[in-house]
Amino acid sequence: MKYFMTIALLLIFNLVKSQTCCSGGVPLSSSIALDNTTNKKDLYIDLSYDYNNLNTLKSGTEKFDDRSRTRITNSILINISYAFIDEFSVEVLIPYINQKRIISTNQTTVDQSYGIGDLISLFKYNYKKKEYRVIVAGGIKFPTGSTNETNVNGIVLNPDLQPGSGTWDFIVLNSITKKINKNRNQFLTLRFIKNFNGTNKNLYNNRSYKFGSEKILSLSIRDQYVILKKQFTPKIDLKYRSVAKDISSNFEQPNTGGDWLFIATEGVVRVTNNLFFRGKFEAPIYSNLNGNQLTTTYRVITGIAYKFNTKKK
Amino acid sequence: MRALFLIIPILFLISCSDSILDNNTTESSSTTAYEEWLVSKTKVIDGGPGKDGIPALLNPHFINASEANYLNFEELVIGIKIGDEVKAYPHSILNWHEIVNDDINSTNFALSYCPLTGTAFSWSRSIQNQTTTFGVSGLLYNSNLILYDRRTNSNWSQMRQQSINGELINLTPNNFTVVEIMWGVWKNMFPETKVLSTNTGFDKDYNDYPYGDFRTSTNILFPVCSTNNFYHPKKRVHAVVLNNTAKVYSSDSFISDGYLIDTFQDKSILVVGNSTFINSFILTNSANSLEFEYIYNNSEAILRDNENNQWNIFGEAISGPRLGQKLERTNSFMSYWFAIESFYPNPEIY
Repeated sequence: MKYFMTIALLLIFNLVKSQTCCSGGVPLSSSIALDNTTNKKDLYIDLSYDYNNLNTLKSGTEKFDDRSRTRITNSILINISYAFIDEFSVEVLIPYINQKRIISTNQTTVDQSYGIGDLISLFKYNYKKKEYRVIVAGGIKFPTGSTNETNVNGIVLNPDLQPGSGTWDFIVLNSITKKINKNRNQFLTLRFIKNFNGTNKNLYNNRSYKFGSEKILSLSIRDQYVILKKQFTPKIDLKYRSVAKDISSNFEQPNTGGDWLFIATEGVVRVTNNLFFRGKFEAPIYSNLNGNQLTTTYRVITGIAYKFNTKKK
Repeated sequence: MRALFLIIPILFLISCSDSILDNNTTESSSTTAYEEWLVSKTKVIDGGPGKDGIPALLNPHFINASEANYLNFEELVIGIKIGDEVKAYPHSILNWHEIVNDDINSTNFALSYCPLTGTAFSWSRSIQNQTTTFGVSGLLYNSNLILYDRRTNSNWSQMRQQSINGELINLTPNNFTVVEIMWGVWKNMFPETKVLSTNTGFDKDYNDYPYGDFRTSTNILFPVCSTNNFYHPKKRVHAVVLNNTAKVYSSDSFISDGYLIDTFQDKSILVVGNSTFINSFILTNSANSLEFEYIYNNSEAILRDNENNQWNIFGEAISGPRLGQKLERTNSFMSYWFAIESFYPNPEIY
């Protein structure tokens, strides 16, 4: 197992500046349902920063040597999770989003928006039995984010540059975790997320817009060590993401949606008994996009979390 | 091994931090904002790629017709003739760049093509005695390209042929005649033509069409002011615009004769073509009395008149007693039907 994780980590490290992937908008689905509140009266507050860099131009699976266009999403995410009982908890994700479009030719042009994004509320059922844990969750993404932000000339920005989608979306999530080493805290997790996106019918100029619905299937493995007297939990994640084409005024948008395969590595350090620091790096290893798209080059997430009312085990 | 797990995520963060800083330090605002627009500002749409996100060509390379192996006979090109020099700009390249800043014999011009409305125009880059280049603003009005000039950052509506925002607001450019035509037909008319090379300096797949099934579907992609289902939205029509009203002609109008003479806005209009090209002229003065015959047979001449003059697609007399004369050009262009309706609601239809 150690060899597998070491090789995988090294592979990811080599991919840092050479691979691609992901479409516009804010992929919040990956930021929900952290494995946090599993015991009654656990209150978990996570503050994280999510940097998503899209600087790779692709058509289908073909990559072009063109770095003139960049899309960056900076998100500050507050995730609050509370367990009413061991089996049932509620999670709320509050994003603050900066969407940025940079064109670098003879001159550099930047268009950007800032604002509260779409809030997500998730209800989780958590079932534990011996070496297994199953989470079944469902939630709603509320249209709390603005969809009419403008550039410096007062022109309303494109829907995928807005902090919000203007839609009520539904999210379902299932995950199953198995302890794979009786002598160590080694776990294997299979997770499936699907969202059902609504249509924003109140976009400017009587235009409607629906972001393509998303499916995510991920397989992750995590271990636990003590390094410098601190508990350290490394994790490797292989994620398949499939997004349908966006639909504008009942017509599919040609250069949206596609399929991606990401690999990610994450480390969580337990700084004190209740305080956690985490860092995650994600990069695509394969993508097949509909038409021509700027796609994620890499994504970095860092965060700190505090767990209240934890029981010492 | 354990240290590795701690070090690697930190290394990732460090490796990313350079890129984050680089992007921030190059940040600048877009343009000086001019509040006034000639069109409703709410109808001006951000098309998605951003300003210069679609890169206009600045120093285009051309090849001989015999070298243009990447073009099929049926592919559409935009043709221009200034003096004796002719050039062709294939849709397949224009779909990706939309604007070519070019010159012929010291006459500079920007040739633009909007893939969403299927319209092409060419106008002078000399504006108020100063030469500029044009870029793609990333904005659309009525689903149509808005260009910007790099000297003043003014925005120009392609189909209105007018600056609609910025320092040069209200200004109209000096146009040159362009024709949309099948490559094979153009090559037969003008074997000496130069054609835009795929060696543009950009890594693009010019065999790929970037808008899916847009050319044939009823999908318009972006909102327009007016729609009319008389034709399929993507039917290609030839529009003549006079006094801000339009009349459209399709190749169905004169498929048997190859030309027609019509009256529009009290002007006598000669429309000539077939399924591979259409152009139109205003018959004024002595040209109004000419009787035409369609003679196109894979060469430059497309019309002959009763004075035994032969005329080409640009309305130039290429032989006969009127050699060197030109028929008066119309303000006309090829377009998808929906775009004519959106800019000139309820156009006359021949």
